Amino acid sequence: MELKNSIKKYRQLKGFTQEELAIKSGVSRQTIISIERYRYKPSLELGLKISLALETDINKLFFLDFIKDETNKSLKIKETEKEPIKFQDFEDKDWKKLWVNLKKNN
Amino acid sequence: MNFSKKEISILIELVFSILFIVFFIPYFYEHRLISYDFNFITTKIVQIAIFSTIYFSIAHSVLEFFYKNKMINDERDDLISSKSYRLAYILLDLGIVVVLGHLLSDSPLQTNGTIIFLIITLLLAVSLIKSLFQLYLYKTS
Repeated sequence: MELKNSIKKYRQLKGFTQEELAIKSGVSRQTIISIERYRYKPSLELGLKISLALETDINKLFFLDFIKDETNKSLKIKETEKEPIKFQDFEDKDWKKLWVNLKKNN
Repeated sequence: MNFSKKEISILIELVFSILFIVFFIPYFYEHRLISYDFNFITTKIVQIAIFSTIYFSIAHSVLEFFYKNKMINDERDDLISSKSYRLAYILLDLGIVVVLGHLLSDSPLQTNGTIIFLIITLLLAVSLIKSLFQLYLYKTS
């Protein structure tokens, strides 16, 4: 899980330069550069100031990048939680498969 | 390499440490075996104070001339400053332990010249490392 942001995207949408956004947020241009490059994680207060300056919801600006991890996790869960089918739930194809396997093993 | 106003002010501190090493440390090193009297020490302190004042006045005037924008101190600057001062504090603690160890030992080099030399070297080393670390943090974070 990593904190990421889309400040650059919304800043460019609003037509602000880094300098302008820095002035509006009350920080230096270097701080905005560091935040956009994910080198610096801003405090909640600064995050709110930036969202106010960009007139955007803070949840759209900042997010946790765990979607990739979650997808992998759910795939792993699907594989491990696959329960074997009971005989009473067998369909025709399952019987055919069982028969072929038995023939192979014999 | 592009430097911001804040980074240039850190470089100014770095250069001051280097100039201090060049101009004053050789003298303190050569005279480390003698015991200074109070008048001499006062004279040296005044010399150092005058040198520092002139250097920083000129350096910051030149900085203000070339960088007209105001230096904003935000939370990132505070974070970097606290990290570098923390490192400097740890190094100073270690240095003081070394100096105290030297004082408590039976070494013949226990004149006040040696003590002054050790303390000045320690402070300079800590200042240098602190400035370098601050510059590194500004460039990488």
